[in-house]
Amino acid sequence: MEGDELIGDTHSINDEGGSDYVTAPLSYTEVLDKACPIFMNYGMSYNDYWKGDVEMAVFYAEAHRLRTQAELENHNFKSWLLGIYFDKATQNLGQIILNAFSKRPKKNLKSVFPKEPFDLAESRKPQAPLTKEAEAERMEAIFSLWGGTKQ
Amino acid sequence: MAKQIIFTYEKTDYTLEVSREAIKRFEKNGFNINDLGAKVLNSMETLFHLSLYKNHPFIKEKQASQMLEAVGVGHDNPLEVQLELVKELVEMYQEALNTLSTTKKATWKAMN
Repeated sequence: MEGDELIGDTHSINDEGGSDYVTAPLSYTEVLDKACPIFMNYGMSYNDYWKGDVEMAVFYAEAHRLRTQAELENHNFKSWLLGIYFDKATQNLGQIILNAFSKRPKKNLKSVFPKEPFDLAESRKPQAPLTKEAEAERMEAIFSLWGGTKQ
Repeated sequence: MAKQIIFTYEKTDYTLEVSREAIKRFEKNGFNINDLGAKVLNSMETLFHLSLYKNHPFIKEKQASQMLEAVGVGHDNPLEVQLELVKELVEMYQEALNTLSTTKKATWKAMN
């Protein structure tokens, strides 16, 4: 993480313009100044950083880590989904190309790209109406909860 | 919550806490935590004043020194008691920086 590089950062530019490692460590103020924009990038306000509880920074950093991880997983999932669409679309592609040069082409070959996007939120689907038996079972369960009909 | 110390002086409670703003402000005025080894008394007073700054910014340096002097009064070795307090303050001071690093913490234990 970016913040880890701050402490003990003793990098400097030497007289010849090249970079050098020097022994003098950064002062607390220098480290704090350097870290401020990093933590503001994590979503911490300027006031919270300088005037607030010092421990807040830990939670902002952890929240940033979780957010980044979730974004990465989301991106990974989207790429995977794209792969599935692509795979579907190109399932018959080889055969279609071969057909173009074939003397006896296969009929009814077409792209199988899905006409609609996959329904990822299946819970949104309306539930099928219950059968009579299922409805009876459901009612029996409700009655038994009320100390009902069962012996 | 970061570490806080409730300091009672003349029946009034003061909350000692270190903020990054206080560190920056006091370092700008010449305070250096590393001087604590060489200039103990001066640095102790400044560190104590620094720890008051977040919650009691209007307390002057002189008043802070008087408050610190009152620590350990009546004790055989008042300086020892003051040093114990300073030890806690140094930890709080370092915490302001340590909380910026998210490296997993390692522990160690000396064996015989």
